[in-house]
Amino acid sequence: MSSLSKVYYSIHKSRLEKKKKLYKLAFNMAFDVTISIYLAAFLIFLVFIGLETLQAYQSYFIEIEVYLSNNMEVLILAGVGRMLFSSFSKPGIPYTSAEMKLTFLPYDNKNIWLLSLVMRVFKLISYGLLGLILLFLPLSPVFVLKILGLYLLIQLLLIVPQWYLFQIKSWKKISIVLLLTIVMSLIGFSSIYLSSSLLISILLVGLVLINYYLWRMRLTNIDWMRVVETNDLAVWNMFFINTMSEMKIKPEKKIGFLSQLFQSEKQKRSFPYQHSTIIYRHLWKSSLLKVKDKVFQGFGSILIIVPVLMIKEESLFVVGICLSIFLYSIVASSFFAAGFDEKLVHSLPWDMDIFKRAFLFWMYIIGGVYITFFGAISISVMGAHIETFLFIVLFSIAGIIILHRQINKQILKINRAYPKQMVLSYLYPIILFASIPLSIYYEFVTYLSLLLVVDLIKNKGKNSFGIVKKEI
Amino acid sequence: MTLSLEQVSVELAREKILSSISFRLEKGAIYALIGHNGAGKSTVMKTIMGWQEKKDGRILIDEVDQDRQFADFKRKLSYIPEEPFLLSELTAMQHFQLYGQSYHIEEAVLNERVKRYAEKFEIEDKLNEYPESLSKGMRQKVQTICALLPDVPVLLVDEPFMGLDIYAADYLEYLLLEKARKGTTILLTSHQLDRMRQLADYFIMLKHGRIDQQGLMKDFEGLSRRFYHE
Repeated sequence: MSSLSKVYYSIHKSRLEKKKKLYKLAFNMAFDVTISIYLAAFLIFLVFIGLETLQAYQSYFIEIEVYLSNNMEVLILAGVGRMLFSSFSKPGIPYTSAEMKLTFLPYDNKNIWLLSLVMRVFKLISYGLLGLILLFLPLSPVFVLKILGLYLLIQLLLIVPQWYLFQIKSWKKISIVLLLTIVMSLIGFSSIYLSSSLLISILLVGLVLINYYLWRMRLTNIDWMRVVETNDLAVWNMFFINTMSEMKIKPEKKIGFLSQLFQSEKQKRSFPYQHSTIIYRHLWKSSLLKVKDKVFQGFGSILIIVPVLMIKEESLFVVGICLSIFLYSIVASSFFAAGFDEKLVHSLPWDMDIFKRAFLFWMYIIGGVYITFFGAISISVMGAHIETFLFIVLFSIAGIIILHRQINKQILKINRAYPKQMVLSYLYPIILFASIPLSIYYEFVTYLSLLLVVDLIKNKGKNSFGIVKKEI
Repeated sequence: MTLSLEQVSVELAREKILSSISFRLEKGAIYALIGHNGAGKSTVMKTIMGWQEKKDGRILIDEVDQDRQFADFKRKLSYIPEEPFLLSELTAMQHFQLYGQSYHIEEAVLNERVKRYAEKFEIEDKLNEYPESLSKGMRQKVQTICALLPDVPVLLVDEPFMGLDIYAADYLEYLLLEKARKGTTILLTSHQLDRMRQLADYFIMLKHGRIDQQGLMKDFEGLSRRFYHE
């Protein structure tokens, strides 16, 4: 064991040194002395502003402290919930390809795994120590230490359960997650009748028993390759380095559980070859599903802009709609560009017209959700009049035009073609955006804007919504 | 139809990977790109494909400039990579269709080619399989067929025989010669010197990101011993 510890330690030391070297290289590329001084001064300044702001919210912190002091079990439940979701993508124990290579040497895998577990514990303790920074918050030190202690204890008790959950099949995992969600809801509900300290005791004892039960199975039915791939990615995917080196580290793409469910025999059939967009639609669907979290975040957060602005002032909903249209086009065009990062797609000659049409198929579906949502808001604010419907038509068409424009811009960028833009091309979106709020107050603006839109659509082929179309 | 590189330089993290590389490939000839590991062979391929940004220089296929007419440039190229990069969401046949659509190959022509290649590469019973259920060699075969489907003027081939069984490697060798005979210019990298000698008309030798020597492949015979023992 001592020889193994030495080897293990030297591997981790070398890894740290390599990372240090990489960061040093990247920092040297990103910052010179002057920028570093300015940045350091800015950060110090930011810390002072942050501390001052925190003091202003002291009453909030007191409320949080009072609530959590009386309901500490919430922390345990939150920890368990977090672990359940993490277990879908992270094994929780840093067993990487380096550890796996050690098994080729005369070392016992059981001990290597144990060392990885110890490494995880050390990491958690160091996070806990880092958490002492919370003492700067306007909270009582006893409360902070209590919270940190409990956090550390829960995290330690959740390492083995997460390791176990990561290994089991998705359907089994989903069943366990659902079951535990129900149990946790019941515990949450029972907090009305039971004291907090009793609940905490029950939860902690439960976690200890689960650990005792799972410990025997810690090394059975382990998908080591999956563990290694996931951990390697986590260890070497360093955002700052990736940004500076312009190299993206991506996980090896595998078919996820959801995709597997839909991989019926029908899915395996050949595409109707004459219908050229179908295969590209499929390609875009896969591309968007791969980043579904970002798709939901990107497009989902746009939906809340209008309601949030309306809380401030109801009439601001028009501003919200304009902002949403703009962001929708930006987000959509970003996903369009990101689709070309795929190596296989990049190696193909791009028929951009088909790529665009296939992509728009999915964007129109998302756009349809926006139109329904914003349409409903418009009717609730303006009433069900003909003007309201014209307003909905106007912002819908404006959205489509702006979307086309942004995607065309991306297409030119992807193709490394930078044609000069007409002066009018800058004016189109401004005119369209201005017409949306104005159309509420001046009816004639609606009609004029719709006429402009008709003209734009008629001349679409000539100028591609304000951007000189180049043969690409 | 020729592929030419003019003073192409590539830098990665301020380190020069390629230094002012220039060469011109003639129509219907096979060129062996030779060099030690890390000499820059794969970087040359990636730069031609547009995956690796150049610092300086121009790459042209005839008069089509990679920087100015990227889409047109790509239509003239096909690529067999060292490692297959298939999409997990598409079956082998769907990959072939994607290539067919992208290079505007007629359906009947595509089906005929797929049938022929699939039979020769012995993957006819794997057409409806996803890449994950294929072995590494099978995936390499699928990727190779994809790149061979279109009739393009320039074919880039990076370590094509790695992972292929001997029959598939022989058939690929035959196909590459056949393509060249029909006018396709081929730029090939491989560490299998015997196959390179049989295939290539010319060689370009890279050393530390520069062109060390170039000439007729038959002249490389005498250099090979020195090349591997230096």
